[in-house]
Amino acid sequence: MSEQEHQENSEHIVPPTTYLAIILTLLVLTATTVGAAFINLHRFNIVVALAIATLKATLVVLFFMHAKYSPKRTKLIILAGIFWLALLLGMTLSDYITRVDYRGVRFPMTQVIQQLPAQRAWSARRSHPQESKSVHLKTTRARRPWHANLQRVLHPAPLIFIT
Amino acid sequence: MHRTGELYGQFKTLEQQKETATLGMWIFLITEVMFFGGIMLAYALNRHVYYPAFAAGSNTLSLKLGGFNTVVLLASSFTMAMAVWSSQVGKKTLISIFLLLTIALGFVFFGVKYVEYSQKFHHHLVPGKNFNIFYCVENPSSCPDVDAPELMEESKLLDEAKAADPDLNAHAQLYYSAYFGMTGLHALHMVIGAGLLFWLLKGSLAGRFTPQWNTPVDIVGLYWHFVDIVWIYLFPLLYLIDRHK
Repeated sequence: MSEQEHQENSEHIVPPTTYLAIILTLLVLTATTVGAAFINLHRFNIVVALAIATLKATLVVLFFMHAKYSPKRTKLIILAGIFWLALLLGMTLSDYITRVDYRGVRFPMTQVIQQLPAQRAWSARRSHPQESKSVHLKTTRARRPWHANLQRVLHPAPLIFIT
Repeated sequence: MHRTGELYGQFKTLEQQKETATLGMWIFLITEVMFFGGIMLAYALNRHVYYPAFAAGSNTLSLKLGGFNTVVLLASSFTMAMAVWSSQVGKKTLISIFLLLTIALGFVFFGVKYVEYSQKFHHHLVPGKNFNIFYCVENPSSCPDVDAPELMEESKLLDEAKAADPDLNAHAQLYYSAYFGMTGLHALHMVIGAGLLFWLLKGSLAGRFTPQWNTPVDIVGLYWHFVDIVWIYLFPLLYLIDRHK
């Protein structure tokens, strides 16, 4: 390769030593994430796992994919993509976290589906017909205060990943 | 494939031409990020609702095979980066060697994936009529690749999960659907990547890539690294949910 050729081609060449350092870091981080999974951090296990994964992904994007040495235009596109993904994930998750369905059940729906009083009476009559003949469907409902639903919606939303 | 280093009319310099190609590839990769992002979102919600079943399902995966595949894929990303470097400095034989290494590591990944998938088929862990997460615990003789202490551990964990979720078998199928869906789509991307690598190898053996023109190597490299990133997320999400018992 002549000197003139090198000048024509002004792109940044990442040296192999950088690649070697990055791959070694990635392998160490992989070992770390496996090790961290065996320690009981309760709800923070997934936070640690995703943090390490994001760190690894960032290293790959910056060095292996040359984002660090790319023109500003390319960097803007990458950041816009990450921002857009965060927006889509964040909006969808905030919808699920704050959702209250028609039975007043908050997400996550539990395995035991909550029944309406009328349904309960109906299934009670089905299972014990001799006892519950006298069950009358009219149930008296306490009037809920006007802010009951508001409180449910504004309840401090848990992070969806922290299970 | 256009001819080596030809400057197209709409560009002023070769550099600008390459920058445009790279930018286009990044935009394509962002659409791929959205695609996998949506699937991971569905996974996150299901995992949140059916946590005991997801944790039990995750513990039936082989951490050894998954961890080995992670190392293989990271190594293949390194060899791909080295192939890009060799094309930038004009070492023509090195490009072919590194591309071959990348392809070889890709095929090691496929091999391990084949072993993993066939184990899941033998262990009745494929969602459907015959899905039974207790299969190995109930029929230890049919699962010779799982040794006795592992089986004891699995039995204990499954009993705990069953106590937390009476409908464990149904919800574990959701986990396995996510597992096969996500790893399957990732493997599909790897197959496409391997095809592109063979195409690059053909070009590099013909000596097409020079320091002035190595756009295809660079762009396939971006794709291969992206597939690596997907696996970087899939590995902790699928294999490491609940190992701390």
